Amino acid sequence: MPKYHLHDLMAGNVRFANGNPVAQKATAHRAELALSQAPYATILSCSDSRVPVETIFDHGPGDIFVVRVAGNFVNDDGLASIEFAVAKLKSTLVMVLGHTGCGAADAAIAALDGEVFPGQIGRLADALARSAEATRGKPGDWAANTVAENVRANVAALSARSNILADGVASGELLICGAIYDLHTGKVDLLT
Amino acid sequence: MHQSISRRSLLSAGAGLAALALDAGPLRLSALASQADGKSHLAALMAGNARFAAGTSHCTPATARRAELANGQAPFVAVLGCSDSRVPVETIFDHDPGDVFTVRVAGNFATDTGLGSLEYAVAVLKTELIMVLGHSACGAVKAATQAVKGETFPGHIQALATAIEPAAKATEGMSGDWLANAIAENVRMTVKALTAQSNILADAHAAGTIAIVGAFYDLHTGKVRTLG
Repeated sequence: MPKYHLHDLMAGNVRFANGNPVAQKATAHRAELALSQAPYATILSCSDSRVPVETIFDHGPGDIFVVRVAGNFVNDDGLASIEFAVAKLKSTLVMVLGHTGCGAADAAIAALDGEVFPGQIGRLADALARSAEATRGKPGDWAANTVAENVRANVAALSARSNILADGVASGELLICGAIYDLHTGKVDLLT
Repeated sequence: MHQSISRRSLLSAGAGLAALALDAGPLRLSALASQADGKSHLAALMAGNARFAAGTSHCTPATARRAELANGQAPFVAVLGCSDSRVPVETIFDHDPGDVFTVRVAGNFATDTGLGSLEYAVAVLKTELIMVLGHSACGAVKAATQAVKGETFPGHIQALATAIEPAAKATEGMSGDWLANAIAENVRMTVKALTAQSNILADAHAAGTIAIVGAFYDLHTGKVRTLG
């Protein structure tokens, strides 16, 4: 079942990327949804305004439980939210979604070069520092490599830091995957 | 698309970081930014919600501005909302990609990295309006009311209930529905926490470059109302 759900999610992205969204955005299921939610997918994504999760997957209200923080990394509160979706709402698919041109990844790279950020923005750079360090000097674009590494690291962190999620994966009831959204094409590509 | 976007050139990611380095001191008062802008942004946001609630959404989340947006973002509003699947922020405000910077966590409260994200929106992207958005029948706030009664939750979920417990405690025994009162109180407390816990947001608010509002989304009507 989780794999079927992934197919459904990706099909929605193809509709969005092609400019043919069909998601029912308005009043259709409002009364029914007001009573309860049963989102089949949970997505940890970036706060970036260009990555509105439901829009890029062409899904309507009630379909996707969404955690967003700049840099789409796992923190305790986000992890608690995802556990809530899996344990209480029975979400069967969890996706970590990064995107091209991520400012948090750029900040992590700049921080490695000594740049200091004001306020709590530095926490965002800190969260992605290990991914930036791990991809320094690798072939290809450093920022793009950092984005992909950050997604992979956080896919691993979800089950490493949560017994609820690890148990779901072990029993086959939960699929956790990583993906990258391309701002230029509008397409989401799964990371393998 | 909200018209204020066209008044400002889009920041490239690189230029954004450069601007951030320059702005590391106290925030400069932009000639364009004012609380009047904050009010017009709020009006644009609420007009979008009225279209959504009426079933007349007209945004076209397709390919129109994709190439332009790939070079940078300049969202006019940052929303701290709940992870609940029934509250897709851009959808309920009928706004397009590029318009709304969005932080979402179950219970829409201020976390360290959520604050860092909002600071990034204000300091780097020059967002002029922040909205904290709660909603009816919030499961995280309900968990907080249950925690007040002594219930415990598995895994990290307990931390959510604990974070929201002050709003549940403050409204226990008040007239009306406890959950609804706790949801509104949680929004008010979070609005206050933004400036109490962030110098960047407090300075921008004091200088009048940003407005901060609390709001409530009704799952039954689809309508958002601002909280006083």
